[in-house]
Amino acid sequence: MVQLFIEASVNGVVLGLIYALVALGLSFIWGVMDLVNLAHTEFLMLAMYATYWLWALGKIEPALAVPIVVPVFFGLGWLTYQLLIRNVLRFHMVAQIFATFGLLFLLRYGAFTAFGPNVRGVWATDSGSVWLLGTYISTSKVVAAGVSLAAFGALALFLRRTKPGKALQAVAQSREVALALGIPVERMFALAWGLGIASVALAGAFLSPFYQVSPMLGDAFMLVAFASVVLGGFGRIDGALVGGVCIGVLENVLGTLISPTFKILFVFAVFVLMLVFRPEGLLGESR
Amino acid sequence: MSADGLLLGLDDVHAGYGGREVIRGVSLRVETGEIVAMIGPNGAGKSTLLKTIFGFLTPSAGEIRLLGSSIAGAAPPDVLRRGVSYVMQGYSILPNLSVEDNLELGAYIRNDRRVRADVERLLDLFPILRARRHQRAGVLSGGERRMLELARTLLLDPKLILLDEPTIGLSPKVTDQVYGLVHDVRRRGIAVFIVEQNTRTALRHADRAYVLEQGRVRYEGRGEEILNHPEVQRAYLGVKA
Amino acid sequence: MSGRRKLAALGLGLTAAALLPLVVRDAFFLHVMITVFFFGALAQAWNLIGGYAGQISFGHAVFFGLGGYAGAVLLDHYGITPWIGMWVGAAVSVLVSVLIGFPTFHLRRHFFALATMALGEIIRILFLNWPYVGGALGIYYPLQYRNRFGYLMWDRKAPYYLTALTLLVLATALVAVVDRARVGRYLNAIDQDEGTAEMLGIPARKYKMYAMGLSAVVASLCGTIYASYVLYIDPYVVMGGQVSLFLVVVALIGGRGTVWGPVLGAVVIVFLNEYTRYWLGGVGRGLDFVIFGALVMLVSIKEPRGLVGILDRFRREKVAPAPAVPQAAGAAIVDPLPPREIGEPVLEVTTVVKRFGGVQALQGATLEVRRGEIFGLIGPNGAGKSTLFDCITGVQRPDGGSVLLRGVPVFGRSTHAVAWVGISRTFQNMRLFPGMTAWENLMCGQEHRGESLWSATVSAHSHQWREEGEALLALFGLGHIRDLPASNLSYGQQKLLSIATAALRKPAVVLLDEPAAGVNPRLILELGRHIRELNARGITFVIIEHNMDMIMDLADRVAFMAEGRVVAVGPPEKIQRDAQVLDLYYGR
Repeated sequence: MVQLFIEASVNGVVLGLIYALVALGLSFIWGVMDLVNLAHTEFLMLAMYATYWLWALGKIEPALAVPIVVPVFFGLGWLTYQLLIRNVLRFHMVAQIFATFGLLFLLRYGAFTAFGPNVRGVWATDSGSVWLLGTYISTSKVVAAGVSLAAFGALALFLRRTKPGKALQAVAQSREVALALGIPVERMFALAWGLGIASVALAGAFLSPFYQVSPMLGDAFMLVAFASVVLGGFGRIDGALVGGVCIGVLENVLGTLISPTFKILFVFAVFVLMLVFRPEGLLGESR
Repeated sequence: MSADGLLLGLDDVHAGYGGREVIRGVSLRVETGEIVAMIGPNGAGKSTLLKTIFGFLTPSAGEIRLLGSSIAGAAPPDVLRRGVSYVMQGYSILPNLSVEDNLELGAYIRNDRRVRADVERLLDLFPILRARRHQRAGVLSGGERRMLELARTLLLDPKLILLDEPTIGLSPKVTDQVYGLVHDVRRRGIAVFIVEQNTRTALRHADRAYVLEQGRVRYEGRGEEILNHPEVQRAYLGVKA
Repeated sequence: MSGRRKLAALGLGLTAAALLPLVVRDAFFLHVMITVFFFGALAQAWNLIGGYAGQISFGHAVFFGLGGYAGAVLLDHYGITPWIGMWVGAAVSVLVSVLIGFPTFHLRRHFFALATMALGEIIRILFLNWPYVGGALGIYYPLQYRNRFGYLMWDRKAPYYLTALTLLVLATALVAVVDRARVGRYLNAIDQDEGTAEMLGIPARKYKMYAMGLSAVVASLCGTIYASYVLYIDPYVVMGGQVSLFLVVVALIGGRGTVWGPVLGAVVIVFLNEYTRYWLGGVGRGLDFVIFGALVMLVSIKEPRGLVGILDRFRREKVAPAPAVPQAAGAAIVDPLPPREIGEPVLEVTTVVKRFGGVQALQGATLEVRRGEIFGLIGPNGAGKSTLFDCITGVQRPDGGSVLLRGVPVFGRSTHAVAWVGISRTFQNMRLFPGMTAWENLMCGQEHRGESLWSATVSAHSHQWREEGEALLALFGLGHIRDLPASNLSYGQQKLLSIATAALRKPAVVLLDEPAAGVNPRLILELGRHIRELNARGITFVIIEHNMDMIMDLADRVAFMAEGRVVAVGPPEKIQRDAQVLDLYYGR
């Protein structure tokens, strides 16, 4: 029983770290410009397709595809901001919801049209398992979790130590003050989008070895990503990390102890409870 | 201060938000190295005027000139580059960043390599900030925040600093400290244009004062004596029956 | 087209639609039409809550599914006809809608959308694992009931066609009724500015629950009939996220918040969807959704009223900007005002204390306003004047002290309940309902205490209120702009409108928060005169103002507030000569 619990927890943490990386960009963009991107996990799906095609056609292993996929998706995020989001920011919140909702449809069914409905998976060379904290976990998952931690660390460093990073923090805290300091707020928004989409692409690349992609993948991850963000506290990077890990652990532990069928249901239930009772999240300050 | 030391000149400026006009034809001037105060009752448009000078609002009419060239309608980064800094009402520090980071961001539009050295020099000038350099700016007291904001503006070597109600919520002692800083700044040849709620304090420290009411300049003068002027009293409390 | 012609055209079109199956035998075409009707009705259901009330729900398939399951389970397990089953389903759906809505209605828009999405998924998963309803396998309709009278199950498409068409007609009729009735305006008001709606006495939550309930009923009926049509039900088909999202797309592209939007959207989208799938096969299915996605994005940026809005643009010319309010000289003859009586205290504020974060906004504010007065409230920024207004109207809860309005304590009441006691308020940043006409704005100000949901749905504004409204508009010189959208009015006109709306139901006390701010000086005299006119009709005013000329001229008494306390009270002359007041204004 204890062994089961340990296994569930460790798996949960590893899974949670991956969820956290998926949620990172969502929380980040939300924090910088107060915009909720409903299409966020569609970019995850697209990145996984990109990784798949690079493997299927170019014989490039997912880990090696990262230097291609991540910068391309940085550009994609930047472009999405310039072409769509920029025009939507000055509108009512409802218009913003619908704009990203439309984008969701566009991306999801664009993939459907282009790639067909079939599920595809990268047949990665079996990397075996690793002993971690009391149980065996597949190496590729641990690698993904490790990459996630590294990405969080890198982003945190970027935000705290570099000039554009600090400028981003300034914009997130107060658009007006940032403007008064001469910070080009629009360009910072584009940068935030680039970073946000790049991070979810990174997650996609490292998910590919052990997770199959289909056009509906965005749907599968969407509520989990939002649950992570809301649980941890939207707008905060550490919130995405804490939230993601909590969701991963919750899903796995409750799923193992109570019922695997209902594990996603627990996640959703926690999500709804958080929204109703503490929408600012575990780490957020109550308004 | 030479006779032709005109730094900032406003000529019949009109400005407002959407359909409503708040500034209804304001003309004023600030000379190099002066401390000029703008006082007046609430709703007069004092903050709106500063925002218009700095570029957050575009005037619908009139002219704003800095050292002879127009800055009316210029965007804030431009205005910053030309030498006008703006310390907003309320607090314009970034509470979740360190004191040092706050200072550094003051030099955002600069691209040269001397920023670090300049920041160190500032920390020398303001030992209190040096002592707190790594702390979150959110823990600073009111007076310390103002100090941080003023110090931050110095990184751009401005010619004019716009201060919007710098002493709100501050005790008399700290108010004096803030004005001490204002005088220090002036000694460096920087002009300061202050919107002030504490009328007497403003008049005590400023070289000149404008009284703004309902979007127009009602009176211009110096010293506390102007408070006894019926025009000024009228601005604050309306026509006596 | 005149009203009668429109009705005739409608009747003709309806008859033609109803008779279509007699003429067209193509089964696929009829199937598409039936799908159009279903999704049109579903989109109308969503329209009520997502369009009119602005509560964006991404989980509406739940009600659709509950209706379907109710019909299926009752028929399969107990032999009960779906004609009864649909009403059981509707009842369950209403119950579920209340359970969903009650805790989530106060959430911000995107949180509400996410919550409904998650709740939809939760219910779907529960059904997926519930053996009683067939779990993942679902329920196959027992075919022995086919063509038996009264079991909603037929071999041919035509009866389904007619049933579905009837449903769409009923759903659209319901939306049309809501659109024209008071309840439609109230929902719009709640959508555009809930705080202001509450301040006018509209109980926001009650109306949202009402809209949600109606929406759930329509969606549920849809579900029961749909399940009877496809003869099969499982959680994926009826409760899946894609159903929820698809019906939102239909309503959005067609035009949410309009009567015909969902119908138009259903026609266009379902046809596109079904025929591209027919012609292009699997690929076609993806392609049309790509187009829908692009259309949704365009609609959100360019034309929020979707296809209906685009069609409207072709029909209506650009609305001309409102003419300026006529000057005081040359306006209608001003009747001399009847003499006023100043009576007993109508508002008693006693040592109210309020803390915000680290700031003590109110430190024991005390004042008393007498019936019939015009009472001015002046003081420097940060003195607590607006906070005091918030405490009086129930928007903020004070930490101590008391507020009595006509002898009734205010504390603990919701905002609209406070409004019902007899108080109204305007805001500094002038919160009107921009999407409604001036008249519709004004009518939101009618008395709402005791207003039943039923009367708000079926009857127009009573004659009495319409008369009052017309009189008020005439008094304020706004009669000529009554049908213009409020956002098209000039700033001064908007100010007058907001005061008129607050005063329509003649509350005992009206609080005005800086009414003269931003108003052209020439119009300020006009404004003062209107306030006096309303005052002469028995309304007590408490006015926060910085325009000293105006307030000193207008007010009977003035209170000066500084640092959270009322420092001096008295007639204007006394305050103006009060050295302490001037001193406090000057500050240190």
